[in-house]
Amino acid sequence: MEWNFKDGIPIYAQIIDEMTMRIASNAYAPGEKLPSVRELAMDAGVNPNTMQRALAELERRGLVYSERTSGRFVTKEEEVLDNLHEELARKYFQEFAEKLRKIGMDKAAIKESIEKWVDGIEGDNNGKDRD
Amino acid sequence: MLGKLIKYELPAMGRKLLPLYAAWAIAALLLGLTAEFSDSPSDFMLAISVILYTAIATAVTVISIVMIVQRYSSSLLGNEGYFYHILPVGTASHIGTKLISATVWVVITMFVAFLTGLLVVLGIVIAQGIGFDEVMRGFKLMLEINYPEHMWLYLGEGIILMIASIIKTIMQIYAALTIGYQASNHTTLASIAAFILLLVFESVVGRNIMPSMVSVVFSANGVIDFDNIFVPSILISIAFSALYFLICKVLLDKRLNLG
Amino acid sequence: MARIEIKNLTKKFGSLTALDDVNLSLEAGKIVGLLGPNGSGKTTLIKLLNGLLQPTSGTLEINGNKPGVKTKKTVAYLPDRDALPDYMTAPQLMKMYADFFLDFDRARAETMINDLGIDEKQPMKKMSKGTKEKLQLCLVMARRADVYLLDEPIGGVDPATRDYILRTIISNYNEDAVVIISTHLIADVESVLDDVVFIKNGRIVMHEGAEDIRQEKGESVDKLFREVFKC
Repeated sequence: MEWNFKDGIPIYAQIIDEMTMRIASNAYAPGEKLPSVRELAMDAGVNPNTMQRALAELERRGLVYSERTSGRFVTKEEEVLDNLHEELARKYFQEFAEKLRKIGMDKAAIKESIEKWVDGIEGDNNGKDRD
Repeated sequence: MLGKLIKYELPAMGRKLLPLYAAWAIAALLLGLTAEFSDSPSDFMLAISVILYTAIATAVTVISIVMIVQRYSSSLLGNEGYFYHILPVGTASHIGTKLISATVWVVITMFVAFLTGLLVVLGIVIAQGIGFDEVMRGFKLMLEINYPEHMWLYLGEGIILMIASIIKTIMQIYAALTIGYQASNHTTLASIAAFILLLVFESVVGRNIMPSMVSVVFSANGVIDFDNIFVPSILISIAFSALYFLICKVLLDKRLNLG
Repeated sequence: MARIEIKNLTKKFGSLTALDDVNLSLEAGKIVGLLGPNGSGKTTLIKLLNGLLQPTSGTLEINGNKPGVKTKKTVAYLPDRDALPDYMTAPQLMKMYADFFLDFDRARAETMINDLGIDEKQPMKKMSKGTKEKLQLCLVMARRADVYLLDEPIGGVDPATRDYILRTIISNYNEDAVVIISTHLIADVESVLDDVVFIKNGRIVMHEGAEDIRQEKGESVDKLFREVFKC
C-alpha cells in the first residue's frame, strides 16, 4: 500500500482519509490489529505525532479501538462499518452529482442517466456469461 | 575520561613514529658495522650510513615536532574539533591528553636515540668479533668506579628536570597555537609570533629571577651546591607549564570559535 | 519543559552579524525543521548549541544548562562536514563512541552500517566522502540522546539514502527527545516535521506547526518557504 500526500492539505486529515479507505475496503479487516504508530509513521514517512493524532481521531470516530496493553484494532462492530460504507457512498455520490450538475444535468436527467448506466453494466455481465 | 582519551591519543601519535624507530635502529647498527670495517673516514659505505643515520634522526625530530603541533591544532582548533569537542570531556582533559601523549612520545624518542647510540657500539663490537664475556667484563668495570655521593639522586633530579623542560616546551607550543588561533586570519603566522613572544617573555622573567637562582645554586664560598642545582629549574618549568596550561584552558573555554 | 531555550542570542564574526537577537524555545517530543537558505545562520545556531562557537551576547540552554560537558552527554550532533579522524576505522570509532557516550547503542549502529552497505573493514582513508558522511550519521543516530542536532543530514545523498535517513529519524523518535533538522531542502523533509522555524539573515522570521501552516494557509511548507524567501 502506497501513501501519497497532496500539498497544502494537513497531513493528518489525509492520513484519516487513507486509513478510512483501508478499513472500508477491507485492507484492514474488522478486528485486525493495526501496526504501531511508529511503524505506520515510518511506512508513510510522516511525523509520528501526526500519525498519532490521526489515529486518535479515527478512534474518536469509532473506526478503531485500543486495548491498553496490546495496541490498536479495527472495529468489529458491523453497525459502524455499515455506517462507514453508507457515508462513503454518500460522499462519492455528492462529488459525482456536483460534476454532473456542472455539465448542466438536473435531478431527472441524472436519475435517467444512472439507470441507463446500471442497465448497461448488467447487459455487459449477461454478455460475458453467454460466452 | 582523561585515561580513555589517552588510550586513543597515544596510537594516533605513535603510528608515524614507530616505523621510523625501527629504521633508525637498523641505520645505527649499520653505522657501527661500517665504522669498524672501513679503513678511512672517507669510505663510501661509511659516508652512506652516516648520512642515513643523520637523516633518520632528523626525520624523527621533525616528525615529532610536527605531530605535537598537528595533533593539538587539528583536534582542538581544526576540523577534527567537530569530533573531539563533541565528546563530553572538559577542555582541561583535552589539553592534558595531548600533553601527556606528546611527552610520552618525546621521552620514548629520546630513549630510542640513546638506544641507537648503544646499537652503534654493538655494531662495532660485532665487527671486531669481541666475545660476550669481554663485554660483560667491561660493564662490571664500569660499575666498580667510585661514583660521587648522591649520584642517583642527582641523576633522578636531572631526569625530572629534563621531563619538566619537555613539558614546558610542549605547553609553550600549545599556548602559542591557541593564542595564534585567536587571530581572525593568518593564524599560522600569528602562532609563530606568539611562540617568539613567549620565548621573550620567558627570558625576561628568567633574567629577573636569575640572580636569586644563582645565589641558591652557589653557596657563599662560590662552590656549586649540587643539592640545589636542579630543584629551582624544575620549579620554574612547572610554573611556566601551569601558566601556559591556564592560557590554553581559558582560551578554549571562553574563546573557542571553530571555523 | 523546554529542552532548548535560546534568549536574545547574537553572534557576530567581526563586522558580520550571523545571528541577530534570536529567541527560540523548543520542547521535547518534537521534530523541528530549521529552515533557511545557505548563509542564513542555521549552522551558526547549531554550532553555538554544541559549544563550538561562543555567543557574542545572549544565552543558550539545553535542559537548563549552558553548552558544556553536561549537555554534550545528551546531545547528538551531526556536523555539516566530514570530521571523523581518518586514521581510525569504523569499529574503532564505534568503540570510542561506546566509551564516551553512555547512550550509544552499538547493535543499532551496526544494523545501520549494514543497511547502508558500508564496508566496516575499509579504512576511513579509502572511504568516499559520501560513505564517511553515512558512517557519521550512523554513529549519531545510534545514540539515545535527548537532543539531536542534524546539520544538513540529507544534503548531497541519493534518494534511497535520503529515505533511509528520514525513516531512521522517525523510528528514533521518542517523546523525550527533540530533533532539529537544518536544511534548505524543504520538500524532502516537510512531512516529517512537527514544527518549522524559518531563519532569514540571522533572524527567526517564523516558528509554527507544520500542520497549522497547511491548515491555515492551505499550502505546503515548501511553497510558503519559497514565498518568504523569494529573491
